[in-house]
Formats: sequence, C-alpha cells, structure tokens
Amino acid sequence: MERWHFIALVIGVYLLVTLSIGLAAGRKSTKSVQGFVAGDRDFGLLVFYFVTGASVYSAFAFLGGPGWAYSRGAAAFYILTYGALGMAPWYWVGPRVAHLGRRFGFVTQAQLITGRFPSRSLSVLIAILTLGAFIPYITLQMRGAGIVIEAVTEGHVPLALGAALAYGIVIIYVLTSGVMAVGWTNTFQGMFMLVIAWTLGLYLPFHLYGGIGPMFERIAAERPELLTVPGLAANGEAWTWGGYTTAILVSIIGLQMWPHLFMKAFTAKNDDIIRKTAILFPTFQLFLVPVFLIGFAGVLFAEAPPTADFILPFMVLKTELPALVVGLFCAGALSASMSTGDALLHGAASVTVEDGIGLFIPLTDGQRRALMRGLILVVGAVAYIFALDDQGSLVALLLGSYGIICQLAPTVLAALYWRRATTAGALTGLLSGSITAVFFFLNGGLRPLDLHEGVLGLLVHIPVLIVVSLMTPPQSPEHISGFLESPPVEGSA
Amino acid sequence: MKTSTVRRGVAIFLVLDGLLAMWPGLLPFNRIYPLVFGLPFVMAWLTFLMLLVGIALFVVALADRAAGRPSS
Repeated sequence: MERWHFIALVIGVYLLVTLSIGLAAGRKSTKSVQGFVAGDRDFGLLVFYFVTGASVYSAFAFLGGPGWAYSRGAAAFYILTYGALGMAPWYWVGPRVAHLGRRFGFVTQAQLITGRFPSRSLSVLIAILTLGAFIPYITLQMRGAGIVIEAVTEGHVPLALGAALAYGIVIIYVLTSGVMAVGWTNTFQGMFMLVIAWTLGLYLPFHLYGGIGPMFERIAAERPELLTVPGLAANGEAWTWGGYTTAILVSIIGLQMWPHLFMKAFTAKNDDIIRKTAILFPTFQLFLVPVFLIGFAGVLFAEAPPTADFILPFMVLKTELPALVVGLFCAGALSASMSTGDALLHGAASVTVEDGIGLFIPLTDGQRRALMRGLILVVGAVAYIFALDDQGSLVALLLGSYGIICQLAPTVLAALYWRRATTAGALTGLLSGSITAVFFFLNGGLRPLDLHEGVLGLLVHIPVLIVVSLMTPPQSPEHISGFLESPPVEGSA
Repeated sequence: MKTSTVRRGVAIFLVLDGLLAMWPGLLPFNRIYPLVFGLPFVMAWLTFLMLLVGIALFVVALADRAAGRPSS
C-alpha cells in the first residue's frame, strides 16, 4: 500500500464517522421548521460550546491562521483579541435574544429585528446581505477542504473531487437532520480540531528547533519585524496601527452578528448555557496559540510553500511525519472547514426561506422545510462552481463581508435596548451603513488613516439611525415593552 | 457587593482589556523579550488578556448567582 493510500483511508474513516454522527443526530428532532432551524431549542452546554467554537473558527483560522503567522507575523495576533471580546457581550445579549425567540417564536435574526421594526424591506435587505456574505464564505470553506485533500494525497484526489466528497457528506447530513446534525458533528469536529492543533503546534517547534523559546529566539534574530504588533501587511510591508486596531474593532462588533452564529441563540435549551459558553469561549480560543506556533515554525524553514495558506499542509508533508498523523491532521483541517460550512449552508437556506421567500408566498411548515432543503442544494452547487475557479478575489470578498455584517450590530442593539428607535431609523441606518461599507471596500484607496470600511460604515450608520429615529414618531409603548423588559428568572439558572 | 456594581466594574474592565490590546494601550507591551513560556512577550500578553475576559465574565456569573437572578 502506498503512503497516500493510507492517508486517504484515514480521511475516509473520518468522513464516515462524521456522516454517521450527522445522520444519527436528526432522529430526535421534530419534523418542523422549529426542529430544522432551531433544534427544538434543546441544545445542552457541551453541544452549544462546540457549535459556537467550531462555527466561529473555520478553515480560515485553521489554514489562514498559520498562513498569517507565517507571512504577516504578529498581524495574526488580532484574532486572539477579537474572539474573546466579541463573545463577551453575548453574556448579556444572548439570553435576551433567546428569551424573545421563545416568546415570539423567532428562529432567525431578521425575524427578531423585524419583530421590533415591522418592515418587509428590512427583512429582505437582511436576507440579501446574509446571502451575499455567505456565498463567498462557503466557497472558501469548500476550496479549503479540496486544497487539503489534494495536497496530502499528492494530487491523486484533485481539488474538485475532494471538495465534492467533503461537501457531499455535509449536504447529506444537513438535509437529513438540519441543525441537530450541525450541532453534533460540530461537537465531534471541534474536539478533533483542538486535539490536532495542540499536538502539531507543540510538536513542530520541538521537532525543528528544540523548543518554543529557541524557535522564537532564532526568529527574533533573523526576522524581528514578525514578532511585534502590527506585523506585516499582505504585501509584505509594515502594517499600520490604524489597520490593526480597526480590524479588531470591526471583528468584535461583527462576530456575533454573523447570522449562522446569532441564530444559534435560538437553539440553546436555557439562558444559562449561553452565559456559560461566553465564559468558557476563551478556553476554546486558546487553540489559536498552537495554530500560530505552526505558522511561526515555517518562517525559517528552508523551502517555501506555493502560497502562505498552504503552510500547514506543506509543513506536515515536509517534516516526514507518519502517514497516520498526516491523515489525522488532514481530518482536523476538514473538521474546521466542514463545521463552519455546514452552519453556513444551513443558515443561508433558513434565512432565504424565513426572511425572504416566505414573506411573499404563504407556505405551510412542511413546505418551508422542503424549500430549505432544496435551497441547501442550490447554495451548495453555486458555491461549488465558484470553488472550482481559482480566484484570489474571494478572500478579499470575505474580509469585506465583515464590514457589512457588522452593520447589523446597531440594528440589533437598537431593537433590544433603545426605546426611541423606529423602523424608519433602523432601515435607513442599515442601508446607509452598508452602502458606505461597500463603497470604501470597492475604493480602498479613499479610506482615511487605513481605517476598516466597516468602521467607516458604522460612522455613517449610527448617526443616521439616531437622527432618523428621533425625527419619526415613536413606537407605541405596548409594542416596545414586549421587547425591552428583562427575561424572567429561570428555575434552572 | 451589589450585582449592578460588579456588572459595571466588569464592563469597565472589558473596555480596558480591549484598549490594552490595541493602539495605543498595547504600545508599552509590544516587545519580544522577555519570552514568557517561550512565547514573545506581546503574544503572551495578548493571550493573557484573552483569558482574563473569561475570568471577568465568571465573576459576573458568581455575582448574578449570589444575587439569585441572572442579568441581561
């Protein structure tokens, strides 16, 4: 048996285990939209912790993280800061969102927002922004899976086939079991990611340099510019503090606003689980430390990978690790890709039906569920077609989508906390903020101080939201009180 | 201590935690040596700030529990 046969076998076993977990997960949930999208609001702490961690950290963190540390050095550290701080407000906001979900039957973010600000245009705008941000995101996850499989099988399984295999399995379990499959497979995949990242991240520095300290001493002597913030920009020149700082700000604000993460608040069994996950999230995030160590281990390596994102598979193949370890590493990277990709596919389909199509055509519960399944296939197919096409512009598109997603933050916060906010204010704010963010994304040269386009969008969004709200008549107190009163005390808390 | 006091204190702490992790708060900590657990000083510092976020929220949770009602 050749080496790559054995590696392919390990990957095959991993994919089969994932598939069976995904299929088994759905047996418990009800055959309703509530069951398909919100898991009957029955996720416990273990599942919720890993759903949150594994959905946040995608192939971008697992492959892109080492790639950033390798090529841009300390620039990558911004990821350490935004994750924990982005999750912290969720300790307060999450239970409130979950409470409103139980009370009014919401299963998506746009339903929550339009529950407070009734407007079909607002709902459709959110659905369009979501879909626009999700498709490049899913495409990148698919490419990530394909790249890893192609690399470790020495090209015997090409990118197109690898991506089709991994995502064929994702689609089967999401179609069958909905969000329950996302929950249970993410639990398995999240654990897998953590173990692989820590093992490799500690092994490589010791194997190549005799320890973590000795590795950094050598990098400090030869490439000191990589070890202090803000590190390097994508073009290899020094990055700016303005760029570094606003990247953190936008990511903190945008993190929980990603609809596939936000919607998970509706899946928690009780509020305490959301709070505990926010407290425990930094422990999951700690896995970024070994992820960066892998990237730094490549800095002084004699050979260079074709592109920075290839550094992880490249190091694994070049350091003569046993075939079993290479196979397991590959499965870890697939875990990262698939655990985000499944949540995205599921989220894209749910949002399109619940917040777009469903508003214009009356559908029964069963029809909505069927339509979601059809759309999962359509979105998967569209993303797959894009994934076969090698376009660096997609990465840029994903980074740009953070600028749009963070525009949802003022709208959500106004819906939950600001009495005087009005529908007109919410709609004009979101629209003007998104247009501003897109404008500066397309015309990057015009940005003052290298500020992130998302921050510039918020600088327009927030004043428009406030001024237009104050200029329009306030909402009736009865309508608002349902949204702003604190959730009741729970027996289980 | 009252829950609202703890909550306000932790909110202020979280803002400070963020400011110390970006410009200009990060400047005094932005160096390579001394290495901490083998990591460059600034990397260890940012990791430490990250873990403090979880600890701060844990303090709020304790205060909430002591007061007998969850906050939101």
